Amino acid sequence: MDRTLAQFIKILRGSDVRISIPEALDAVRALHLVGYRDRQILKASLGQVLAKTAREKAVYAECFERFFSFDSFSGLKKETDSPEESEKTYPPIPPSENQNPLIQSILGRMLLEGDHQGLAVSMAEAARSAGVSEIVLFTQTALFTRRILEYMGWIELEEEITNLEFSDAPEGKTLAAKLEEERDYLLEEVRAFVDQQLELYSVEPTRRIREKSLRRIDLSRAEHRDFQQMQLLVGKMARRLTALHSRRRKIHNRGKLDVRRTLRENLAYQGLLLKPRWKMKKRERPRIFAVCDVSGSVQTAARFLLMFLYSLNEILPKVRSFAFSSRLEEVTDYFEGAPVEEAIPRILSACGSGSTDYGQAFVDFRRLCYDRLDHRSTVIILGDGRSNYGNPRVEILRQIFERARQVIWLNPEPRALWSYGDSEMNRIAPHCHRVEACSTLVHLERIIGDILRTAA
Amino acid sequence: MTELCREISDKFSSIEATRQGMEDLGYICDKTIASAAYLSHHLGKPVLVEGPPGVGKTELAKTAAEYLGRPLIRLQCYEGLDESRSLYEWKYGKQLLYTQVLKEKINDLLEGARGLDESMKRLNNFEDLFFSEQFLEPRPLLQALKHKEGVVLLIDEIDKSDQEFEAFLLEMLSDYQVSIPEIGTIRAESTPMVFLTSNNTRELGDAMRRRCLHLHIPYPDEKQERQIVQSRVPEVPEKLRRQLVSFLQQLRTLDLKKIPAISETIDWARTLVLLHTESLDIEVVRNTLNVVLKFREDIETAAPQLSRITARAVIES
Repeated sequence: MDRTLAQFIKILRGSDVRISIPEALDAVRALHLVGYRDRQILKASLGQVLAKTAREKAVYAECFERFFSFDSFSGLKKETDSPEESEKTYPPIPPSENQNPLIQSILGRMLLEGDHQGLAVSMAEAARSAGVSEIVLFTQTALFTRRILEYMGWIELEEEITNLEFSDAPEGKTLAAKLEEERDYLLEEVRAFVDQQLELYSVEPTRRIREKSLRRIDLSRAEHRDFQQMQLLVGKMARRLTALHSRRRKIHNRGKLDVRRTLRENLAYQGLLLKPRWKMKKRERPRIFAVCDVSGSVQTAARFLLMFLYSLNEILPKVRSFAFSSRLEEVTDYFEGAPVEEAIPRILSACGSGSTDYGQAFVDFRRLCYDRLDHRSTVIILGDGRSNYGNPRVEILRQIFERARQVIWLNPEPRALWSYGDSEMNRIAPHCHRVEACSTLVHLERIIGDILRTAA
Repeated sequence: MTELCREISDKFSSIEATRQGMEDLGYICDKTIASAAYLSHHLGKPVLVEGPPGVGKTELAKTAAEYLGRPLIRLQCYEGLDESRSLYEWKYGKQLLYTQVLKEKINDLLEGARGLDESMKRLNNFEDLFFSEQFLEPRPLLQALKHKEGVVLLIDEIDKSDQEFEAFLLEMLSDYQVSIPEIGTIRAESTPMVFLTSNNTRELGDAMRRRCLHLHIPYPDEKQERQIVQSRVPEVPEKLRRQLVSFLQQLRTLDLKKIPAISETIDWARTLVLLHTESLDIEVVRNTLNVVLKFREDIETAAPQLSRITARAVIES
């Protein structure tokens, strides 16, 4: 496979464009057909083969511009008119007549002649030999710059400059000064090139490592600067869950005749049973009531839970969200219409003051939507179960438990802490269908996935 | 046959040739669109065409068919479309007749057979005609596969169909074959050129996207739109054409519910020709705006801007 194309595909994958192996093979075939000659056509063709959604197309366009840019050395003074030829079929540097016999090294000659294409090709080759696509950290730039320069013939160039300075030839000194100037320019260009490569290649590994760690980080310890990235991750998770669960499945009960529907539908055929109708089960999407503790002790974790609720709102049409610290309020309306970064602080400031009072929260919840609960409802409660030694009124939770399909309690604290201090988890747990410790995004995803799957 | 093949490969000898050829048929397109048709032919892959409504997605397939000189088979997708309406159906009536005939002839066939065993043996010797291709009623997809010289198959608005149907299409799109349980696998006689269009009312699955080339057609730029109007409605005088296109380009920057596409531009050009309009003015624009804007709200949004846009369109050209 074409080296350049392979690298390009690697970069695209790093930027979150999913490319399967058959697609990569298609790209190779497409490349054979169109070639590198026309940049616009190349961009269009590879785009059709590799990027398959509007989002991917945008990412692709950006990567293409950065990857297939040949503007290195464009600042070089042109002394000889190099023939305009495409990058691939560029012939080896033609020996020109006004060649200075004093300059022996190829690199020096190219610099003096202003052969920017030759230099670009030579740099690309050197970069390949130096393995620049393995670059991961910015601390490696100096190393790779050095390596590329060496492959390009840096040492010979240095020697030549020294020789020229001490040579007897009349124009030796001026030539040396000129070469020195060009050498500095070369250094600058190569450094810029390596920086660009770093930007291209390092995105993927760095991001992957960060994402991995963010998914496992304790939610209550997440730092402010991680929020943005976490938000992206939460969104990604929610999208994946949507893709899995957005379909309403109907399960046909094969072989069981639905007598009523059959008779009704066949009335049109004078009661002759032409079209049998079978019984089927519909899987309904769960109706979720999410209750979230947003008091000071769990606020950081609550932020992510709210974030997730926000995304969940987009997956499931019937999510009602509530937030409480001392009193409980419905916050569904906050989510609608406002972007997540506005909605969450507003909820936190509206409900986040005061100390936790589970008793009052349950009373409010019962008042607001007890009669809305039925056998399809799932109630998710997110909180640490610490009621400041107040009465948690578990009898109301019991009523909810008996009425709803399932009650799930997610606690951001690890299980080991549940029975200490003012935690009421031991009294709460018997009145829930499931009690889970939920302190990382991985937990959260697993639990929500389970809820969606089992909601039959 | 080989001559036809050669002719077709001539038509797809390069992207530029493809573009030119389609332009000669009145379909103005840029290199991106031409390269999609070109790659589709050479890679033998279907093209998934996306873009706002009215930019010529369906037209692309029609033009490709005309360009190749092959018939166009169109399958319009809608909710509830299933394989009996897209792939094949049994000819029930004929099958019933066949059983009647069989009933009468069965005595002749089984004459002299002793016992049930022997009768069954004899029956087994006969070819099973009941589920055979004779009783198969081909629907668009099967027609496309069975066509000798290959066709252009247009699967229109795939996003309107159900997810099950999309999954069912996968076999057809990757290998150009379908499986009919009673008969077996039917392969394409010659690879059809397939276009799928989507307006993104539903997100298509990854599996579907992977099997297709993906082409996004945006609204055309001003120059291209002028060319399109010129090729489609040649009666429009040069001056009016410039004004009209400039007007629409400006209109598209407004916050509208349904942004007018090329089809609206063409309709409007035709309307203006019928009204013998020489040049745009605010009166004409007000009276004919409903050709371009299809929603009450949109007309209200645009109304206060009309005189400004018209003036600019007139000055610019």
